[in-house]
Amino acid sequence: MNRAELYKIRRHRTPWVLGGLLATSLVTPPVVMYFLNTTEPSTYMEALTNIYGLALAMTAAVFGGWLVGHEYRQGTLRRMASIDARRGRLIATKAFVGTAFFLGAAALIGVVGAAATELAANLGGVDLLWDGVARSMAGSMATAMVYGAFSLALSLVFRNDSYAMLTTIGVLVVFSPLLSLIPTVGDYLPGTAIDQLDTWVRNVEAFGQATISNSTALVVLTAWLGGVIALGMQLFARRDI
Amino acid sequence: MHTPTAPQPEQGTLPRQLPGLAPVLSVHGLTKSYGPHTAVGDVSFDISKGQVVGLIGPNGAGKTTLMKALLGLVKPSSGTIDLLGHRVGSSGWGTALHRVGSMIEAPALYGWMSARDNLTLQAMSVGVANSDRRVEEVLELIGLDHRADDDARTFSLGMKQRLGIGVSVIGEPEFVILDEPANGLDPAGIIEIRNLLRRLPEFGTTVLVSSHQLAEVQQACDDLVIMSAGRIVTTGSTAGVLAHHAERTFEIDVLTSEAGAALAALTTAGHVVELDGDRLILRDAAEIDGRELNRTLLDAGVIASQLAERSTSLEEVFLSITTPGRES
Repeated sequence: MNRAELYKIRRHRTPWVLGGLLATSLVTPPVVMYFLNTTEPSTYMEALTNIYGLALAMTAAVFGGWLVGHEYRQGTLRRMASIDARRGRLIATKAFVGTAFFLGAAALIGVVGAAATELAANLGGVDLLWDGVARSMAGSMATAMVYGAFSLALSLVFRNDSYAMLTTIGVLVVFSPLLSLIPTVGDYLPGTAIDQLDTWVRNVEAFGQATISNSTALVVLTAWLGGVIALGMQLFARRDI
Repeated sequence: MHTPTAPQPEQGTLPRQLPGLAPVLSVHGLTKSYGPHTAVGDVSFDISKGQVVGLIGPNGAGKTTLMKALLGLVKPSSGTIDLLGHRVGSSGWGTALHRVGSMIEAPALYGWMSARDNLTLQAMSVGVANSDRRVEEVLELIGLDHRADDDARTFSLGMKQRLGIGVSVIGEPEFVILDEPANGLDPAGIIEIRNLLRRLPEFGTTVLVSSHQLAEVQQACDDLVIMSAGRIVTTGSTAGVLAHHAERTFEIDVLTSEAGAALAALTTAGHVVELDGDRLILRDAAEIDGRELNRTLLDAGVIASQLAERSTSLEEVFLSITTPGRES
């Protein structure tokens, strides 16, 4: 079943288009900076890590929603569920294979982006310091996994990939940061928790001023993510297809 | 004759089930309701190994809901289904589905994948050994070998339908459920599907097929389950259902000038005759001998230009059973 799921991912265009866009978004900035004669090393590094963080999270939101949502859209979920009635196992397989594929591709594209950055800087005579970059990119991958998991779970709730992607990005990227400005309540939103944990892992500045500890943020995030996943799985198990 | 306004379901075992042999499919008291609407109501029937069973009924009769319930896609409100020795919904049911091939409503295809990839994926999913060889076999069987590497989204409705059928049979399943497999096919394609359905039992496959192509059902299916308004109206062998519900009729064409004499002669001989222009129609003619009719007419000096015996088709039987207010 894992083999079939991997075959399906590999044979669809969406994952390759997403990978291509991610790679392009990482390779383009250092090339532009080279032609602009950028000499500040931190500009190269910030471009790499920040674009990687944001683009990877967006890619994960799209990929996570697509994993199940495209099956609903094409009517192939019925075909899937007609092969194996164990619906929890179906989704677990999708999540496992999708995660493995995503992490492998994200790591590879991250290396490509880093190589392009190093090459552009080197050609421009700029020496880069790579301290903390691996940790930052690993943090971005962890954050992206959370985005992907939210989107996958929401696609089970909505039975639609577009709604899942839009809701994930809308809630985590747009509304959570805005609502986080509300004292106390804002700290318990999923986007705030992700942001706080992301800044902790990547060791960078936070967007807002969180008033809860990292461990509390972890509990908040786990509760939100667990809740959405539990809801999605319950609905998927109970609904007629 | 069945009264459509007050259906008398004839539910139960289809005729060719051997005593003591467990049915491949056993549906008992199946009901599926959506709020106040009952899509399938108290349906019971058994199907034995190797049968080709036609599930027919008008739109909204509950055929697709029933087929989905057999696959566990729809959870019944009540009742039980046992398929291939497993209770649908039980713990052992999950893997038993590998032995069932299906195509419900429209063919479920990955449009951005080629025909070959769609079949390969299904072969992997159901654990077909030597899947490459099997994929080529099925491509040839469904007549898509020349378009094997084209994306499914570029196919015509008929080609998608054929690919959908290929997906359902690639795992050499023991039980195949096909919902409207001939939908969108041209006459040649319909004949191919009929031949395919007839061939499947040779490999020990049992088939449940729903279709509105009643002439095809009549030719392809050994047995029938006829549904209307969520309930089974009748079950039995195709021949048995036709014999039970059909009406034998004689149609006699004569010259208009001789029609009166022909009517008088036949009525005198004890037949109930309708006169429709220059055509005489004898209904409920099961016991009538055509040669005897011809002799009666000749004795009256009438020469029939045509004397035709006509049996009711499945289409007419179907309409008489399932259309409210209509009787044969």
